[in-house]
Amino acid sequence: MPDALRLSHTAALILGAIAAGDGYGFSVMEITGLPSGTVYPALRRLERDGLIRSQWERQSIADREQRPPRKYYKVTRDGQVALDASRERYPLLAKLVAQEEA
Amino acid sequence: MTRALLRIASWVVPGADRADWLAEWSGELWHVTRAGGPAVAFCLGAFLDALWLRRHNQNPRAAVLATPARCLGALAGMACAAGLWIPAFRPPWNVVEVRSHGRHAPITYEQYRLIAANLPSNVEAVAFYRPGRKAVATRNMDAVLQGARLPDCGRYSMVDDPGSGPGSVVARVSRRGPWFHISAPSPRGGRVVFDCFPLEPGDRAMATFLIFALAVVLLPMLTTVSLGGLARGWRAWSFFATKLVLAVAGAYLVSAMVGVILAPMMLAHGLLIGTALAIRWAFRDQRRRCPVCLHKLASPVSFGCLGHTLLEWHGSEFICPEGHGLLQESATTASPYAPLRWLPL
Repeated sequence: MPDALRLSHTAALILGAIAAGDGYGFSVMEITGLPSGTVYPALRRLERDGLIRSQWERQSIADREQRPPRKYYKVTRDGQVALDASRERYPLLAKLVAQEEA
Repeated sequence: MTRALLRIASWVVPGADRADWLAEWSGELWHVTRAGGPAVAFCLGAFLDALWLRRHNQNPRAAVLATPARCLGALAGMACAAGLWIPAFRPPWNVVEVRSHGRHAPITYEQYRLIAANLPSNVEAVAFYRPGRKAVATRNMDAVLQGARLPDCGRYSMVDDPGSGPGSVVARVSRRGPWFHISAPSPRGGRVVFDCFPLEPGDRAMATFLIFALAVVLLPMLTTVSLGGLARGWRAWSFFATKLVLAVAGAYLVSAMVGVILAPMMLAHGLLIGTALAIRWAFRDQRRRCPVCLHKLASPVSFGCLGHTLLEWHGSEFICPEGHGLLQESATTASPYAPLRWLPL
């Protein structure tokens, strides 16, 4: 397996949470139960490695819902490959994210 | 408070990413607050995120101290700037402290009133103050100091009557020598004599030397007193010596300035800490410089793992930005004085 696809358990958990949840920082924290000091640096690292990409939502959507705009993260194609590989490596990961989400 | 924490953490983030970073964290904080989560703990995580971004900055600015010329220039600039500010904090020549004759004992408020009622011809004004956590001074203190600062009392509140009890007296004089006497009539008859001493200590050179000597003694406890065999030739040694002198001078002056402003009673402690840290920085900086061009080494890379020290080499590697060589520093040397390994390219 290439090194780029070998994610730590925490990174794989966060990647799985992005794929399963709304995909902004606080939702990842809620799904994984990890503290902010772990989640946000991990998001930066995943984005730097090209496994996720970020995009600000439009101001009009945030205004309509009367909240600040969110920065959404989406799993890229490389990220999806890495996530699939991680699910094979960590078999309980899919259950963990699914349970947390439920 | 949470907003302030985020704002402080944002200073760590590289400037190009700061606005975006702050907007994201502020937006996320809104969700945390709305969900009733621990907002302060959430914001403390922002510091870790900010540090990560700072460490992995893709477009770092050239370090101020990277080249030897810029390093010495920056240190000289700091020392000069601090040196220019120092006179503003030194007590003026014509302000003296009044003490009981021969005993160096504090003066009571009653004695002060005696002096104030019988001012000698060479004393323009006199004021009483009592240093401490809740320092107080008589209302004529400003007339004596005229913008100067007391050496043992940072802030004080002005009162009409500081109450009985010992304190200190300062006087503004029209002329002075190293020290002189003033006298006032005693209620019991005769005259009471007081000594006047300048606020500015005369033995500054000796105090500076002692602080420097103590800092040198403390140095082995703070860092490795070794250049790792990297200082080769007169150019490296003269650069190190100049850097050491400028760093110590700058740190001493800055510590003196900060100490006078924030904690006059702790001035000597601040000078000692500032001097020791400056010497420590000079040694550590020199161990991270190329022995050929004296540029700051860059691109640190860690090798190995602390748990595998018996199986593989564990340490860090730095490279000269000019391409002169690699520096290998083992994390598990038997002695801190062991030479660093320099590999010429």
